[in-house]
Amino acid sequence: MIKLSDIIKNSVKVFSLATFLITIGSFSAHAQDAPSAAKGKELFEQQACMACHAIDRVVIGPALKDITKQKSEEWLIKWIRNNVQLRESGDKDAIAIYKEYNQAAMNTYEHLTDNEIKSILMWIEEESAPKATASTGTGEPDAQVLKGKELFEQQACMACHAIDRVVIGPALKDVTKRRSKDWLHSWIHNNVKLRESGDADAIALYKEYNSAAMNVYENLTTEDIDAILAYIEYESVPKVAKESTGVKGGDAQSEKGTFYNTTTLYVIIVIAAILLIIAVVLYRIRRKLSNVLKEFEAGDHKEKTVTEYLKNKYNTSRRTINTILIIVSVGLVLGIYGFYFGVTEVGVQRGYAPTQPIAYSHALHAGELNIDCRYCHSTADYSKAASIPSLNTCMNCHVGVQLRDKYDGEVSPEIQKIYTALDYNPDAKPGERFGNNPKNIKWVRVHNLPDLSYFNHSQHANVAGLECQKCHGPVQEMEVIQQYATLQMGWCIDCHRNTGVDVENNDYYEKLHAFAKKDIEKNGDKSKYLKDGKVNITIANIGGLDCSKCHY
Amino acid sequence: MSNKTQYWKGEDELLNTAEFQADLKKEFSEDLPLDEVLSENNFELSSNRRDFLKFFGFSITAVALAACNKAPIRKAIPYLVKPEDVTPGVANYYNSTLGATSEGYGIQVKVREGRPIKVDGNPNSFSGKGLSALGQASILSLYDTARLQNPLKGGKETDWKTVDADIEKALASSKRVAIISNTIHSPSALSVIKKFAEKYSTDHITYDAISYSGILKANEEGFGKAVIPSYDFSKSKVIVSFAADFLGTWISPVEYTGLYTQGRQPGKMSRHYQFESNLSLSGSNADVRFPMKQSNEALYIATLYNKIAEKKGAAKIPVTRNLNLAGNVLDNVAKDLLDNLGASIVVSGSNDPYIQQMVNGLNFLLGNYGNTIDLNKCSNQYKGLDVNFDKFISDASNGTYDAVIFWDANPMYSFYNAEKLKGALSKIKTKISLASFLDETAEEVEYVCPDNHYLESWGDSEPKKGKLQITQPTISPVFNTRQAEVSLLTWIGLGQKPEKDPFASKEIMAQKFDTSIYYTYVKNYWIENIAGVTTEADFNKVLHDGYYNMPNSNDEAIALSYNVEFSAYGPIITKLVPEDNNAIDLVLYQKVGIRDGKFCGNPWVQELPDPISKVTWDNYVAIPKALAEKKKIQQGDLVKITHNGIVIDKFPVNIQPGQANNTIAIALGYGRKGKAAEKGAYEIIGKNAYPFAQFVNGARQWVTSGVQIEKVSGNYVLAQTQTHNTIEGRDLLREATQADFVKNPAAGNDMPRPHLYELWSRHEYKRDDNPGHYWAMAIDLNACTGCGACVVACSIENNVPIVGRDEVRRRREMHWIRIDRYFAFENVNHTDYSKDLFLSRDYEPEYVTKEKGIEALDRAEAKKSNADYAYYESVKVMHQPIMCQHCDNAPCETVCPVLATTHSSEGLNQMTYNRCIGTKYCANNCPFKVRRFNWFRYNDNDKFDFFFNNDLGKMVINPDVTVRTRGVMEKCSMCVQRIQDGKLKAKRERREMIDGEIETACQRSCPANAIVFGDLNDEKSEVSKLYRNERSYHLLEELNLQQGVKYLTKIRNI
Repeated sequence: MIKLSDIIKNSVKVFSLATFLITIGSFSAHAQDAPSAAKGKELFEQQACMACHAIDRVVIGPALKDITKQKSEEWLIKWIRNNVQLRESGDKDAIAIYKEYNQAAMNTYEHLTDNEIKSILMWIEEESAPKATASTGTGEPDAQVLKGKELFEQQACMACHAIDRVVIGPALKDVTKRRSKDWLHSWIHNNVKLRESGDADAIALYKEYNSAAMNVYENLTTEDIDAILAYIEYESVPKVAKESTGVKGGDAQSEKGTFYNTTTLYVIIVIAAILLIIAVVLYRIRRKLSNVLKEFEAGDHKEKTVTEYLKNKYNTSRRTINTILIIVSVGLVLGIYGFYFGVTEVGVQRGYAPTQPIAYSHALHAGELNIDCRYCHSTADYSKAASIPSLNTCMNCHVGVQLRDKYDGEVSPEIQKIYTALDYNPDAKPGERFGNNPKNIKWVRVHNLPDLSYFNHSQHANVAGLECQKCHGPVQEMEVIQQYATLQMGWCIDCHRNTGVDVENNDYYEKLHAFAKKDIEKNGDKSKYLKDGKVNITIANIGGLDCSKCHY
Repeated sequence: MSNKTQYWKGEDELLNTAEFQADLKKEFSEDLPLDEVLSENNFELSSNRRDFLKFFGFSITAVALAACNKAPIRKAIPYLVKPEDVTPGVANYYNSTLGATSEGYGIQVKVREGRPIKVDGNPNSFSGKGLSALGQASILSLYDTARLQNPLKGGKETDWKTVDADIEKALASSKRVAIISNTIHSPSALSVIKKFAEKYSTDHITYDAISYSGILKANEEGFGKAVIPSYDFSKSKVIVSFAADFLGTWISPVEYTGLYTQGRQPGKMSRHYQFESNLSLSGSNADVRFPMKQSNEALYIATLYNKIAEKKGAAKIPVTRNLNLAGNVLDNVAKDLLDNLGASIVVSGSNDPYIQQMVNGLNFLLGNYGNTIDLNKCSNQYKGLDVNFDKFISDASNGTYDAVIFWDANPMYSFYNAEKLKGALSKIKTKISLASFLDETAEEVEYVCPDNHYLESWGDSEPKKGKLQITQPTISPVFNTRQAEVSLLTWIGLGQKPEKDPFASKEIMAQKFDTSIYYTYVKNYWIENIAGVTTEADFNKVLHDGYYNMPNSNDEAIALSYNVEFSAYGPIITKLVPEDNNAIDLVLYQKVGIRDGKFCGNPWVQELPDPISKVTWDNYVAIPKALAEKKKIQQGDLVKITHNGIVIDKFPVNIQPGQANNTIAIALGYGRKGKAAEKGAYEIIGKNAYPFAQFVNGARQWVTSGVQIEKVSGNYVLAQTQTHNTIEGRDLLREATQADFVKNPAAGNDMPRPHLYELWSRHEYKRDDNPGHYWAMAIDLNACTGCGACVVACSIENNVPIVGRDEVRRRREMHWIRIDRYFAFENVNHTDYSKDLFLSRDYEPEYVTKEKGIEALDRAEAKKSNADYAYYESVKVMHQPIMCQHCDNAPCETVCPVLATTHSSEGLNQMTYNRCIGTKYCANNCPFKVRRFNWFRYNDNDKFDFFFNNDLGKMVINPDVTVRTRGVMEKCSMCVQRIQDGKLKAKRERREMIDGEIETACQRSCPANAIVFGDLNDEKSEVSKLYRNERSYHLLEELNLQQGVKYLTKIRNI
């Protein structure tokens, strides 16, 4: 018979283990050590790789697409860490690349760890995947994929399968990553035969799905199956990139993929798990107690009440203390985690990329067409707001640019939205094109700086002469505009601590410049205004960290 | 020696009452209502541990769940077609004219994203850069939801077409039409009325709620022209005012304040004598103030006239009554005036033509015309003659008029006999009002055609002869209203849109509203009629500048022939002065904020404490101490005031130091609807005192004698801010006499400085070679008149909430800047006024202690005689603006547990609201009590329905300043948003800062230039110079706070 204390002990174990696991799990999601694509992206930008490289085109160095497939990881790590050494060691590939790209030597990156380089490679690999093609403008799946799609439908695969959910058979998402190509070929070709051959995976799969056998497709050629797999692969890539090319557009009300949706989901899952555990524990306590009651009624003992009986049977005070200790420590761990989470993540909308009423592509306008940011956001120069341009700015170009050749002689549907908003009819006689019923366009704000902090664009764009990308990220690559920086105070402060003020070219700072020069003369190397032999006054030096610079 | 003067704020502080002592120790005026809050929700009063855990658990869960909420989706709506001159985030400034009062000050309107958010004076206009509190606050009426939003017919909303058709029909069948308006000095509007009169036989009658008939009539008789002259107080060495509050309410106070302070530079300042019953703003600034029973005014002036006439060899006025008071005072005034011939001004606030005639006679004898008083460049600000309106009433009663149009005039409220007027109006078939609000007169008429707010209107004005100004709209009409001039033009068939619409390109505004009609009219009028403006370009230049000075106004100068016979004045004076010198006078006066009551419903002016009594949200009867003792009336009692059948019942009492014996005073302009109640409903604020006015000698008079006052049961606590903080005998105020100042510029400020110990290391910005800024402010107590414009300006600039009467009673007003008003006993000889105590040149001020004053009081009570109360009748007054002093060694900063208040690298004491957790330690530790705590979320609370919590009212909020939530401290930031903006502008233009480029809101609004702000690290800046001035001192120097605000001693010319 199980003792009550054991049950409690066990349930506490389960409970603490679960919370521990959840905690560790959540932590590991944030763990920085293991290589990850996200980390790789960060590094890629940090190390300014894009100064010489792009994924899909030659800049100074070669295009990086599928580089991981062309060269071994080992070689790549060596090359990235110190390409000079590699060349000097006589590596032919290395020398060839060096010559191919005009003998412009790549920087060495000896400070990067293996994991960091792996992260970068992982990110490159990820960027090389088909979605990259989808987002670089063509947006069209290639012929093989199209063929696969056709076959998929022809063979009525969807009768039993879907990409992202179980129908009768399993979900197909990323199946090419789960199984080897050969195995898939033999399975699709004739799964019965495969099972009979004693393949453990095949038998397990068969059993997992209620022993419902899949049809045999011996009529399909190897190419056909490849095509289908290519299609599945294509479909497995998250849809965000593809949707953002703006085929849908329209109503901006549905903000999918915001940070909060997923958080809420996680929170609900964790809460549900905890509640479930509590329910189990309580149920078992109840059962145990009723057993004790039965024992008490049936048994022969000196105690008069159940309580006394229980007390004597299980002297639990020490255990209670232990239990409390464990619960408290678990609570503490969770609390610290919650605090950490709250401080760093809640309210941060980094990556927020809502669907906008017009599928305006910065990648096209700022990237491909190379239009200056301040052509449209002209007020950034002299106002606190960079402001969303008014439609008359759009019309400077789109009075002519209508892309009719791409839409069977019709105006591009996205451009048409501008016309509709302005009540503009491009086909009417000049002078009669503007109607009397214009409607505003309600864009979704991406950067939601709270009211309590004052930010002035002209201060940063005009006076400090910052590139817009410094805070807004590589806008010229964004199909859908998204929040790039965290917009947390620490992020502002960091920059204010490290950025120098251009005191030489602004008469406002004349006194300050003279002062710094005098200080350097007097104190020499010890002067806090000296860095790399130059006058360096950071924003923090001149009160850039004062509360009332931003909060009033 | 004069700085030994002991100042006190109110009677309870003076007498150190038990309640005052108890109050002194309390942080809040009342205990925190925690129990009340808990019991309201039926919670147990004594919450036990379980309840605590319940609340605790619930709040944690609620907060946790709230944190999981999805962030709200916020929309951004750009312009479809961006107007060229409007940039989001950048303010535009437009010059225009203040339309709220008929004083016609030039203004600059700050507009952000198409919303006017601030009004200030136009530095180039005749009135200077300052603006009155009422002018500042008038912007709120633009966003007032109580404004009429559609034309009314029979009290129901309708459209313009309907009313226009009805009115045109009614006018066509009218034999005679009357237009009743306030003073209109707009040339184009007058031409509209002229055109209107050409079509319909029309009488234009000017009716001013507060009229200056007396001056107009006197000048008509004496000089042949019914005008108000221009007074140049800056050139005047001696100013004698008989109850004319020219710094607060009389004719053109903003203009006069500017001129007055110009003439008050220490060392060569003018001497100001004030004779009055109730302590007015001017009286509080006077060098010598004499408490005068105002019904005796004629006698005073006649006596003074005779003294001057005697010396000048002119005929005397035969005065039969003898003025046995103040003989020597008037002797000294006469001597002073005769010493400064041609450089003095005598004015009177009376509306009696005979009194004004004697004042004219005085000024003529003194040679002031052509020197300090200019009849040629006269004022057009008030032109209403009371007799005309009286004639209108009798004509209307006789059925002369078939139609009447009320334009910006509200006689049903401000006329003393509203019943009589109502009777007369009942004889008129068609009654039309052009009012913006459903005021008392608009309620009596069939058609109300709401006028635009002045910030929505085109127009022009000529407040002073030859000085013209343009009015231009800064927002398209908020409601379906129409400019009054356009209404008139429409009814005479001239209301069509111009063929070539000047706003065609800015189509939306012009299509929806008839703005273009009057723009075209004004422009054409100027090009055709105004000399020197001949092209549209000329007009546009005037529009840009906001003002236009006519080149050599070709009006013939009024010949200075003055020939008035005063021989017949004996009986007139006898009739004016009541026989019984002990009869109680009632003086009706205007408050600096409320004025004639047109904007009684404006919460900003209601919450502005009266400069003298510091009462908000109410009018009351001011009574002198002696009378109060006699009638056994105490502060907060209710009284009943009766005169000739007019009664004000249950009226609260304010015992007012400075109030002359046997006189009482009530402010006009109250008794109208406004949002004063806690629940946001409209209620009547105060009581209407206009019915007490009397029609004597062809003009409405504001002084009546022989009123009855009696105590009735009940009690009422006035929301008074004066007792909220105390001086506790500290040396906050320094002053000197002009004579001492001439000998020693540091007079009054030359006491030994305390030895100072420094706990902190010096701030970097204070080092001699520091290249950064060190912001500081200097306030000249000699210039500050205490008018309160800065208080309102600061509230508007910094989104300071209005808290309402009840919260003010709890000492929770939020003003970031307050003006402390202090009283001190003046030396009077309380047994005999005739003794030469006031004014002899070698006069050494007697040191009157509080104790002496109290002794006198005790004597008075024991002897039941009035004489000793004279101490109370003639107190001297100091005004001291106090805001956050931005101490370098700030006591508030060291006690904040969360570093919410810290010091900036430019010498500012900064307040970071989002860090503040509301411990209030800082407020406790502040020696100046300038920190204000947000008890409520005023911007989103139905209990504070003033303007902050509705969509339209919120349009006036300054978008550069955070709207504070509840539970945080706030205080003056020295307009850090303006500092930042000014610096950024210089940086963008890549140049050094210019001194005076940044102006704080209070500085900008000050008509007296009493506040100077700037950079102390710039040696040449104005504020550095003032910091080095011998008159400058820090408050509570011994604490070594090293504030960023310095005060300059007040100089009195006695």
